[in-house]
Amino acid sequence: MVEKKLLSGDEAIALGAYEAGVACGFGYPGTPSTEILEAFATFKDVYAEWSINEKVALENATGVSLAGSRSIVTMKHVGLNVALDAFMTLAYTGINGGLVVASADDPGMHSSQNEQDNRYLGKFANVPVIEPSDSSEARTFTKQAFEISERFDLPVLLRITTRTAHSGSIVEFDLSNKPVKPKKKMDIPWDKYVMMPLNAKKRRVVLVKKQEELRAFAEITELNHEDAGETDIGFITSGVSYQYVREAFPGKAVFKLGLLNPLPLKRIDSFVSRVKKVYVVEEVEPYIEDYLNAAGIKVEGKSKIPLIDELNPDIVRSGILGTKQSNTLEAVKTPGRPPQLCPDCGHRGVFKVLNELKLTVAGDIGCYTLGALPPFSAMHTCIDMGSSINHAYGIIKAGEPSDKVVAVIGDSTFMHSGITGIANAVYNNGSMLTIILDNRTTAMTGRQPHAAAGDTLQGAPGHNVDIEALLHALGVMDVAVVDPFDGKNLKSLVEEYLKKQGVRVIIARRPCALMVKHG
Amino acid sequence: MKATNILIVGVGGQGIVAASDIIADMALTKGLDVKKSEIHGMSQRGGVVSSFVRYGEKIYSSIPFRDEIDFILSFEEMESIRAAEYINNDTIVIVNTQRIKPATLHSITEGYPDAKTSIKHDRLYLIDAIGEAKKTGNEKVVNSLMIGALSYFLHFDEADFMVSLQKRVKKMPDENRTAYNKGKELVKNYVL
Ligand SMILES: Cc1ncc(C[n+]2csc(CCOP(=O)(O)OP(=O)(O)O)c2C)c(N)n1
Repeated sequence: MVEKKLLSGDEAIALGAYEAGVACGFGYPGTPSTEILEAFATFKDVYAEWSINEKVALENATGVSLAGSRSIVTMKHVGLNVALDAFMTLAYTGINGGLVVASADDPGMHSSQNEQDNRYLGKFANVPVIEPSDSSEARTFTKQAFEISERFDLPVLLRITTRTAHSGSIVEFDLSNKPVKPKKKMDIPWDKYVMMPLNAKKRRVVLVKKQEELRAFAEITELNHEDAGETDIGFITSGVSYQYVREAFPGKAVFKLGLLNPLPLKRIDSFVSRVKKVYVVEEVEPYIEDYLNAAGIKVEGKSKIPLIDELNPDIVRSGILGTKQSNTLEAVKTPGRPPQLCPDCGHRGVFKVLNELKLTVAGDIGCYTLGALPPFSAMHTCIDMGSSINHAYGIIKAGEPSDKVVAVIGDSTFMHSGITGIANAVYNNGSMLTIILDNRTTAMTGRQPHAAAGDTLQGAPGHNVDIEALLHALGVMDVAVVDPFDGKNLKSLVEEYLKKQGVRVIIARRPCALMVKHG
Repeated sequence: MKATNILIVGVGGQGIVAASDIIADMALTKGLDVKKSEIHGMSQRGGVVSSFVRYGEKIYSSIPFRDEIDFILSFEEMESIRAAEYINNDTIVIVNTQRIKPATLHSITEGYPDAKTSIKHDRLYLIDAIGEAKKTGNEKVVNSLMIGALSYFLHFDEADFMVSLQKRVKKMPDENRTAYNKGKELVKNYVL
């Protein structure tokens, strides 16, 4: 039976992966990618898990692939930085069962710490990069991504952005004739997968050779297509920018890229030769523009289209035409409505104390980053997940007094990448206080369970890591647990712990207020 | 057929996303092309939430041109003022006059702007949706009431609404139906 549904891009990727016979999905939450795995986990006969971080997720998926099954890995754009070590060399070894990394960029930084453009990471790793422009393509391109992965023996990067991930559009599909994808035989020849120089040098040659095959493929694949139209001006574009171009310049010739690495230079050259003036319309960096100009195909883009923030039909139209059209009321200055810690959030108790004690606070990423804002104003750094502990450690190593500095980190972030910082500090005779803000969940991204709290993604009881025992095992001498709403005790405990020597940790534990309310 | 463009705004926790899902689904059921786009990154933390719903024969961008918004459905009074830059001469603006204090104000009375005086526009429908919803016995049906108010101007009827609603919400069908019709009535009898 053909079904017709309004799906988000994330849901459509999950559907495509399911239809492609993907056996296992791994990921770590991160807006706007989170819903891919949440949707995938609901299908019958698939395995899906929240892995402890993105690197672990990709390596788990690699194991699945080697064993002969298809796997998908999901993460936000910065997640790929964490997984990049695994990703780069996986391009050398290749895969057995198809492997697709779905990573979501966030132009406009709606909920991210940077605006990085992961198309470069795909090109950097020499792997195919595929980008859909709506939910329907998100589904079909995901299925094709698995075919391409197996055909070229490479992992594939499926790049989406916030607008494709979180916009809803119509998807037609039919699950009644979903093909079964039996597991292939496990196949792990040592000279393909043991990347010691002896083998890696040979695999590097293979990888370079594959680029030639990929370039030939780019010229024929239907992932790229040309919308015929008037040729006084024309556009080269991809992803959601394609929709904006079609909206702003109906009837003009458009070359739409679905495969972003490598680019089909011959087809584009032919397009450019038939169109009087060609503009590249793309969000964030001039990836396509620089790629084409370096290949000797002269195009213009970022001289008209901003480098910063998301695009939309207005920005595309006014950028290209150089005119602004405004038939609307003028904006009225309205009091801001910044996001806030919930009224009954346990993090509040901790930041109140940190504010009162006027400490230097090395912070981290999560709901608790809002502790940087008034009325608390009690956080001074937040750069990348897991960094708080190491920032505090470095600040103290530089000579700042250790009773004036504290690291704060959420429980999910601690499990993701905080543990190594503690181990490093213990080993190197560090002296510093860390407060783990343990709300028993990954609240920021919608309350996902994690290694130290809650069931598994598919609802099996999780065998949770015991954070206190873990800290003791790492060699942390002073570990205390406190309820952040017990203000008096919390404050005196922090004061006491600030004066101690060595690596010490306070766990401020209170379940997330939203979890209490909604489960 | 020209596309219909709707902007729904409000505050995290008000059910903006759910409301836009229902409106989009009503259009889908009518066989139209539909796209919707929402930004809800920090919405759980009481930030601003907004969502576009567009439908018609063929929709490309999920975000419309700023001066082509046909309807603004605002779930909170001040948020309608923030959306003023989307109001063109013909835009119909429906506002739930519920006021939710933003953290930047000390109280709900001091400095909270008034929609009626701040928005210089004729087609402004200020309705006490939350108050009316409470009268039906459960203020949670306020979403249905707002969708009803919007539907007065659209080609959707009660049956379309109930089908789309019940794909998502099974509870309180009668209360939601009543609220939907109340919303329609409030706009119908509204004196501009
Ligand atoms: C490498 C990376 N992966 C994922 C994210 C998205 N993300 C931001 S904070 C966070 C975890 C928040 O959980 P926790 O540390 O428990 O703090 P809480 O929000 O619960 O207070 C996640 C997954 C990110 N910013 N960077």
